This record gives sequence, C-alpha cells and structure tokens, in this order.
Amino acid sequence: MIEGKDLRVYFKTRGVEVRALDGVSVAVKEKEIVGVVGESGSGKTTLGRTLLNLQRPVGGEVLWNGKNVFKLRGREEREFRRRNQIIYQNPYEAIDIRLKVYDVIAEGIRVHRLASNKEEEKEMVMNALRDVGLNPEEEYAYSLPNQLSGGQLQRVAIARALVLNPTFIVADEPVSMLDMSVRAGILEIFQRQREEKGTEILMITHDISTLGYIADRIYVMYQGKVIEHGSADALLEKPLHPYTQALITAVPIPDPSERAKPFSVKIKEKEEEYNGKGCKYYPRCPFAMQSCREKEPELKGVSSDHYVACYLY
Amino acid sequence: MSNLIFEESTDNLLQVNSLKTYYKTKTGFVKAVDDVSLFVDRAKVLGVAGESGCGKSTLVTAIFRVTPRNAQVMSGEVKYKGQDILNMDLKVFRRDIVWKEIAYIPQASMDVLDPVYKIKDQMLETILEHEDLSKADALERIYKALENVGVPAEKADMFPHELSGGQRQRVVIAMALLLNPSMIVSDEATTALDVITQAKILELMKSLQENRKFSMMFVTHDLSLLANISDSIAIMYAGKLVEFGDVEKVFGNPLHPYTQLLLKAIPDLRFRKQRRLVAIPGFPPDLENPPKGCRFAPRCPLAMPICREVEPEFSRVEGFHYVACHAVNKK
Repeated sequence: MIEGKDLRVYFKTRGVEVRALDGVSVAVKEKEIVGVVGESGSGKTTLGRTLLNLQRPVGGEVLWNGKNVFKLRGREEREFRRRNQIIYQNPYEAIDIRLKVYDVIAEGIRVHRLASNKEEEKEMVMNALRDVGLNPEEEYAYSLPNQLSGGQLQRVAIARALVLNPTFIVADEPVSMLDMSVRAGILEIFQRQREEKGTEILMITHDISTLGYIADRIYVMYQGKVIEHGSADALLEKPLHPYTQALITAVPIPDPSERAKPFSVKIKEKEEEYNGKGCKYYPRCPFAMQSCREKEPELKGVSSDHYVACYLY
Repeated sequence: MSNLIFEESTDNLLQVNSLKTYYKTKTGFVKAVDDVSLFVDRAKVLGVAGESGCGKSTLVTAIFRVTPRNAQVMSGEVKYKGQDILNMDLKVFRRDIVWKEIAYIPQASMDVLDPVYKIKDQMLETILEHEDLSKADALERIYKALENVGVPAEKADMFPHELSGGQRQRVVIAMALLLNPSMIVSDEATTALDVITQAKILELMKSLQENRKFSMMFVTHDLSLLANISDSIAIMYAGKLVEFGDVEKVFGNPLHPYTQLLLKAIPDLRFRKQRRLVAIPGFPPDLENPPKGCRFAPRCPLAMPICREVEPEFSRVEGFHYVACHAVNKK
C-alpha cells in the first residue's frame, strides 16, 4: 500500500510560483487500480513522480507500507526503488534505442542483482517478454527498439518494469500515444498483473473513459488539487463536480444517433480571471456562485466512497 | 477496384479515383495507398479512419501534392470540381487550389505555426499570397476570422507560444478558413488535445461546417470522433479502403471484421459494465510485401482459405454501404 498525505510541490519559474500539487492526498490500497484523471497541467504526472520519490515535495509525506519513503536509505531505499516502478507515456523516449530489447529489460535485473547467473537472467527476461505478450520472445529479445512499433515498444517498457516484480506501478498515460486498436491489449497486461500478482497500479490519464474499464477508484485533479474522488462506479455514474461532469460529457460517443451529446459540454467559453483565492475552477464553471469566488472548497464526503470539493454539495 | 461507389455521390466536390501512391525504397515499393477510391460531396463531411501506417496521411499528402520525394503516384487520379489536380501545373495548383479551394488543418502542435512570427503576420502571408488585398482590409478579415473561431482579436499580436494548445488549434482553423475554401482536409486535428478541448474544437468545426457549407475530409485514428461529425465514413487498412458508406450504416451495421474490431476497441462509458475492450491481435502488415489476398486476413478472426489467396472485391452490400470482404454476403 502506498499513500501520499497532503503533498505539496511548488515550482518556481521566473519568479512565478506554480503549485503543481497543492495539498493532495491519495492512497493506493492492496490489489487496487487507481485512476488519476485531469487535463495537462493539473499535476497528475507530478503526483506520480512524487509518490515514487522522483520529486521531492515541499510539504507532505509518502508512506510505503507505513514507512516514509523520503527517509529510506541504503538497502531499504534500493528495495523501494525496485518494488515501485513507473511506465511513461512515450516509449520512444523512455527506452535507450541503442540497447537490444534483451538488455533494456536485463538492465534492472543487473542493477538490483536479481539473477545469480546468465541463465537465470535470460529466463527472467524471456518470462517478462511472454508476460507482456511479445511472442516469439526470442525474436523480440534480440531486436532493436527501432524495429518495433509504438505498441510493441510500450510492451517492452512494461516488461522492463515487471521483471523487477514490483508491488506498485505508476503508469503515466501508458496508452495515449498508441492507436485505439492496441490500447486494450496494453490495459489487459495491467489487469492481469493485478489479478495474478496483486500489483497496485496508479493509472494517470486525461481520458476518463479508459479508466471506466480498468480503475477501481478514480481521483479527478484540477490545477494541483483533487476536486473529486471515489469508487469508479460512484464517480462515473453520478459525477458531482462540474469539471468531472464536463470530462465525462466530452468523451466522444461512437454512435451517430447521439450526435448532439458531445457538444453539450458545460464549460464557459470566456474565462474569467482567477482572483487567487476562490475555487480554482470557478473561472470556467457555469455554476459559479459568489461563495466560489471567496474561498476554496474542501473535499467533503457525500457517501463513504465518494468525496467532492464543491459548494454545490 | 470497381468505381461503382461514385454512383452514390450526389454532388461531388472531390473524387479520388483508384489512387496508388507508393514510396520507393532500396528494395522495392511501399504500397501506402493502393487503389483507393472515395469521394466527398459538397457541404458534406467524410470521415476517414484507420490505424497508424494505414495510408491515411499519404492520402492527404497526395491530395495536396506534398508527398516526400520518394513517393510516386503510380496510377489513378484526384479530381476537384472535375479538374484533375494531380496533373495540373504545380504553380497553378498552389496558387488557385491550395488554401483558396482546399485548405488543410493539421494536428495541433507548436510546429504548425511558425514560432518566430506573430499570429497576424502568418495569417497575412496566407491572404496576400493569394489575393490582391490591402493590408488594412486583410487585417480586418483576420480579426473577424479569429473572432469566428472564438479567439479574441487581440491575440493576433501574440506569438504562437503565448497561446494555449486549444487556442493554437483555433488559430490554425481560422487560418484554413481565411480564403473561404470550399473544402477542408483535417488530419488528426484534435489528436493532441485534452478531451474537453477536443470536444470544443469538434463542436466549432462542425458548426463552422454547417454554417459555411464547406465540405470536409476528417482524418483520424479515433473512430469515435467520426460518429458525431461525419455524413459518410471510409475505413482504411494497410493502404486499402476496406469499408465505405453512410455514417449510420457503418456504425449501425459495421461489415468488415476490421471495422467491427475497431469499434470494439473504443472505450464507451455507456457500456463499461457490459462489454470488454477488445484489442485487435497482431500488427499491420509490411506494406512492401503485403500478404496475398486480403491484407487483413492474418489478423482476421473470420479468415477463410480464400482470404489468403484472392483479394476481396470492393462491392456494394446495401444502399450506400460498400465493403471489401469475402465473409460478407453480397447483394
């Protein structure tokens, strides 16, 4: 189980402070696939990186099985690094194109000294390739990354993570670069991993419809804040925050008889200037009230598995 | 390919007739667009969908005659308002057809707009290249064009990096419409955008199209977008057109196994409990040595022996609905 508590990450650019994470708390429990959804700049990638101790927050803590990950040292830190993996959006950038697929995957095994000899290493690599559906694995193992398609390369990136037997994986937009037709195959790998090994997964995406098929719980982020979270069923069937509602109505429906629907996204065309103190969303919110301009709403439970930060509720 | 399909056209503006565009390589030809015929009617929207590498972009670049140097049009023709635009003098084509008649909306990214020129200067260039207009009049038109796409006129004085992704895409759309073309070709115009921005841009494109009555060819890998904006749908696979028809028919009764699988790969929140997402097994073929027979046969769940031997003919099933598949009963 991994848990982030009141995480704050601020970036300073040219004197302007950007609050990428502004008091975000998330938890990924055992055997859970948790989705984080939001638009670019909402802080979802920063959240993933902070949970993995790739980004130091200015406030808050990350607990991994109860231990503060920023205080881990030596053997414990190495163990943390091995057990917690990340998969990036663009496999072309995440993989060293000069290495053969075999070495891309074997690198982690060597760093963490997981294999006692070459045969064992080879077996681990081949198993990992098979786990991600790259058959025949011998052939893929000795290819170079540029001989593979984007979908195949993303599978290699996943194999590289899985070979280390992680207990937690951050998957940062793992399918958004890929063709529709191969996305389901990639998502299946994560689902199988969860079912067979109980791996916890944090799936970061801007596309809420994908999460509907894979996530147990969903966090919706907007400008560094979690504005709604809950079980996937509660959140998708009864979205409360106007932003979550907009995210859901914006999903194109593959049915010509529902033509008008995607165009009914409720969001203001002309944005107001943010006044620095109200709800971050009020400039775009069609339901903004006076109270929204004065103070940021806190997350409040509307049921035991559904929380929203909005004065409408 | 039989060109029966043109019978379905009522008022055709663009007609692609048995087009073959191949890329020459050291070892042979990559058959990126291989005998493709389709049409776009006046004031209608044709949606073109397929996976990466299916030849969508080659088709677009062939229409605009901007294919890479190793590409060759092997045969076929592209007719715009009855004129053969592939063999037209290139200078005349660029002066009279591109932008003025057929404009292009590419994928939203920084590379589309020149980062060192202000928005208005790039738009001025487009106008002044083609029309004899005073600068003041041209600027007037630019401000109006920007407002029409929901970008405040004062943004004309900004540089591309000062705008958000959605605004840049709106600027690109405004630019395409500057010379009031009869046809727009959009290639993955909303692909890099956030879901909400994408919905807004699609809404904008659809309303502009309905108000100004231009034709549109909307190319994308995401079939779900097409349901909401298209009148007809063309599905491409490995350089071939595999299904073509009225939007209701293609979505309501997809015939080609490839189209059926593509539709099952789309996440649809309405049915998330009932259906599983389906991945299409295997990978698209090498277009230098495409498989004999149907190019989809190696990945097709319904493949029969004949599919690996004989290329299926593209034929009509019922009304404006065509498919190239041995497994579909022909009428």
